[in-house]
Amino acid sequence: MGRELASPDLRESTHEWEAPGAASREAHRSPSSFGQLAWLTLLIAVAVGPHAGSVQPWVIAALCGSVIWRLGAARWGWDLPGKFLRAALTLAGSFAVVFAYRRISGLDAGSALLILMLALKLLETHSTRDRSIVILIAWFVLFAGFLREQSVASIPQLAAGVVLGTLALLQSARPAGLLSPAQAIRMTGRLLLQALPLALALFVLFPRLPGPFWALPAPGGGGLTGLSDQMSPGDITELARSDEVAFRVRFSGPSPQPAELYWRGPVLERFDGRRWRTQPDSLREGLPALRDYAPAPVAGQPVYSYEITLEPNQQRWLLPLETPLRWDVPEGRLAGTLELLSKRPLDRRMAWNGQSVATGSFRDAGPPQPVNRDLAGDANPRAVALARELRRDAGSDEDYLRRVLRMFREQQFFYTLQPPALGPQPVDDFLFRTRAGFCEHYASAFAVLARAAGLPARVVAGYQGGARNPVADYWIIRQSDAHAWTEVWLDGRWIRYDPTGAVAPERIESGLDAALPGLAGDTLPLLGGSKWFERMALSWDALNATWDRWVLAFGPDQQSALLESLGIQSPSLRDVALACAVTVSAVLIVFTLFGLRSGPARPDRVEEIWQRLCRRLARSVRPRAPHEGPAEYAAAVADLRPDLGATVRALAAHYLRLRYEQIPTVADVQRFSQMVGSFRVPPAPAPGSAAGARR
Amino acid sequence: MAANVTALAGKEELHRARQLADQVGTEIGQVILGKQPEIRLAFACLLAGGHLLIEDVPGVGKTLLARSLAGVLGLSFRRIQFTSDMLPADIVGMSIFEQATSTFRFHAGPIFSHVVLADEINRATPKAQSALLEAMEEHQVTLDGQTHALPAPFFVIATQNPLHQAGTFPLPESQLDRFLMRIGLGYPGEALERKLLKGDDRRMMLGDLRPVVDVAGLAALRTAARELFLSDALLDYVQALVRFTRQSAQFDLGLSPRGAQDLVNAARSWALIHGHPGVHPEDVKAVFAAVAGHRLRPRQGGTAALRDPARLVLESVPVP
Repeated sequence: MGRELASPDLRESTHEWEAPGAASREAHRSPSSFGQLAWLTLLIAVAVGPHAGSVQPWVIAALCGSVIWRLGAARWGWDLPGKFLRAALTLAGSFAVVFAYRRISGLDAGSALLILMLALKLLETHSTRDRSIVILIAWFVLFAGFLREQSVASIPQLAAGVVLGTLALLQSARPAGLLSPAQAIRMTGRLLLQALPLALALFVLFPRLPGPFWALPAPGGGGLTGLSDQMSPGDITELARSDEVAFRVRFSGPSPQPAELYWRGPVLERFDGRRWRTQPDSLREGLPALRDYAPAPVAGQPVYSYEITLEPNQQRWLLPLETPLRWDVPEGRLAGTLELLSKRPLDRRMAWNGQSVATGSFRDAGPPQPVNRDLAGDANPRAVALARELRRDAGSDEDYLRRVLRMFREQQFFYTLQPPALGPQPVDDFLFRTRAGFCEHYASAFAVLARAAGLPARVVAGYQGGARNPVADYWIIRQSDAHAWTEVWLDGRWIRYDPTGAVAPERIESGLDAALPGLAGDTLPLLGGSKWFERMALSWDALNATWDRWVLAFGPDQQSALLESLGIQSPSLRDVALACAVTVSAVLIVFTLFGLRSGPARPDRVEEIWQRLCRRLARSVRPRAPHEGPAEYAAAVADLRPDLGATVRALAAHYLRLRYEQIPTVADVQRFSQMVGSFRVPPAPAPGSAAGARR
Repeated sequence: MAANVTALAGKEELHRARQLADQVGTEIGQVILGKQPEIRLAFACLLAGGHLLIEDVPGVGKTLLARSLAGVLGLSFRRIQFTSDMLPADIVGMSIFEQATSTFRFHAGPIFSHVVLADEINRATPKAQSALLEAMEEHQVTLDGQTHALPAPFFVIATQNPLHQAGTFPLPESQLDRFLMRIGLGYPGEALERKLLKGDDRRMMLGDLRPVVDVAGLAALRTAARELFLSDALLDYVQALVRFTRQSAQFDLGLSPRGAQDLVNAARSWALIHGHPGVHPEDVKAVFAAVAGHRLRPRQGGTAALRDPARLVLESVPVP
């Protein structure tokens, strides 16, 4: 590291930047060379890239025009716009943005304005200072891209931008001539490596503000897929075609069987003959869950601990594993319907830790309400009749439900992602005509049949299963894992019945792909079968998840946790700031120490070492005449003792290098001292030779 | 093949400078046999932006050296034979009235050339000499109130014959000081002389010389030489040398401040063409005799008068 800092060319370059008087005046006059502008152009292209698809095309066109104009001016001496034209363009640009976006702030309008100003400043690059401003705006645009895209995929672009930005700064500060690309890249690499520890310290310790800083509201709020507070036939089918990730789960300790993975979302209790809806918020949330609603974990029944990372979906369900015992969401609460709800819709990625037992039955806040028996008047009469008939034959409620499931299993019911359209009595239509449907059809029909037999029932929507990522051992739950099932009130408990499991047991045990091969989520038919591709996709997802978890999710809570693990109890913002200052100072002190080591050595030190060598040679070969230069003396010694020639010449050359060709660093001098220290004068090789005779 | 040396002090640039110097040496070495040190000194002198005085008897190849140096460096060349009846106008040129336009027009003299060989400079009167010496110093010629810049690089090689001083005007010390270096060529060795006798006419061979560098490349080299690293230790050494010439009882006249500057500049050029990133004491020693020899006046009767005074200085001053 000391060596790196010591490199002479680096010192040269910083020197150029530092000199306040003459050098900066010199730099002020330096016009932009074509090479410098080419570097700038490259940087601008990388920085603006992520915005190109989002800002209006005329902004990009203006930027391209300005780049061509500026490059043309540098190469073919085109005239650049004068002061007044530039002022007019600036005004026009600002108005254009306001006119086009109806505002001047916000992500899109803001980045459009920034890019326009970048384009205009580019027309005004006559000095090092101008170029630095362009580069700084480009950095800003580059990091504004972070507001749009924060995934791992953006890292290469960001890294390229950082490297190019540094390169462009280096090249821009050289009035005399550009560095060769190799030189420039070496120097950039060194600068960035040296900046890395500071950047890391600042990332970890710079006081974090609570609240979404990066998470600007998603533009328009549309386009988000996910569960909602109602379900009609076809809704989940639609969802199942989406490959989007809904959330990821990492179990610490044992993970449940796939068939046990029921992620509980909205509880749909109101039925209007076709559509299922949740109860109004006031009804659901006015009723807190019982403290002992879940059966106490029996010995041998594992409690699963997990961390769940939800993608933003503008909904409030936190989707715990059924049945939740504990959750660490401060603003989350469990409603009487056993829905775990956050206070606000999830407008950014969110992670929480929870514990659950995987049971399909639990007590609710209170006995079922009339709404759980509602059949929506005389809707679906044939289904109701069928239910009454079946119930008459059954010995008990449980036996009845078993019979219904057996009916689904043994008669000609099909599980499909392409269900035929249903008429005005959808459940009747489904049970007696089409007999083909997706999970919501079965859940809906089962709930209706249960209600018709006098049993309180409701539909629960959520996700079932998920794909385990073997690369990093976590589960990915996609929209295609969306699912609906039924709960029936029996013996003072809500019991989960999943009729889909009766029709397509593979769906529950192995997921949608197994149940409907070639139909579900097959977005990449060509590559879908390739094991290698699958593995790559999983690795990529694992990388993204790690990035989210350790980098993007790093907020005030994680920061506090880190400081607490370092022994600072419940750190305040002040403590964080202090820790940050201390660490950054420490890094700088270490740098300074290295810098001292690579700083100039005591001038006489090199000579002392040389004298030591001369004394040693004087004893065994011949003394150095005072007027002999090092190279002359080495040549003379080599004449007398050809066997020592190469070594002594090398040492003399080293001495000349340290003493006469540069300002040596402490480290250089130490190395020279070691070289001289390890130099031994062996006895003359052959007694008969000239050298031997002289001795 | 014109080498293009742009930036400086980088490893590659140094390597190129050294290669170039080697090429110059080999090319000229084909014409002038066995005079490598002198050729290199002349090249270093040119790079340092100074002028060269060759003091030797006729027929040892002074003109040949000047011509081949100009040829190898791709520079224009003029020769001025100095005579006692020479006028300054014969050197710098004159304004001539033109009938057609009724104006005076400046007719450039032979001095408007990159390399000028001033042959037997001590034959001309001091007036003619001073015209040349002023041009050397100023790198321009002023005539009738008009200033005409001389081409760059501008390099004068003057020769004078140390013997046969009858009817000559030897250059005084003050004028000698304007030459960065003074060298002698001397007779070739036995073997080389034999080769010389057997070989072609040397003058014919001049046509075969190929330029190894162009004017821009030469300018870049000169910049590189100027920016070579000078350590404090080296400056100590140079000052010790200068101090010795001034304080020693052996000399009536020591090195002037300009002499000291010239010594450093010459050593820089020497270091550059030997590929040193900084100036070594050996570089100073290598050019010392050529730079200081003609500026030192040994005291009559002292040992310095008897033997080589430059060598006396070098052997008396320890290298730090």
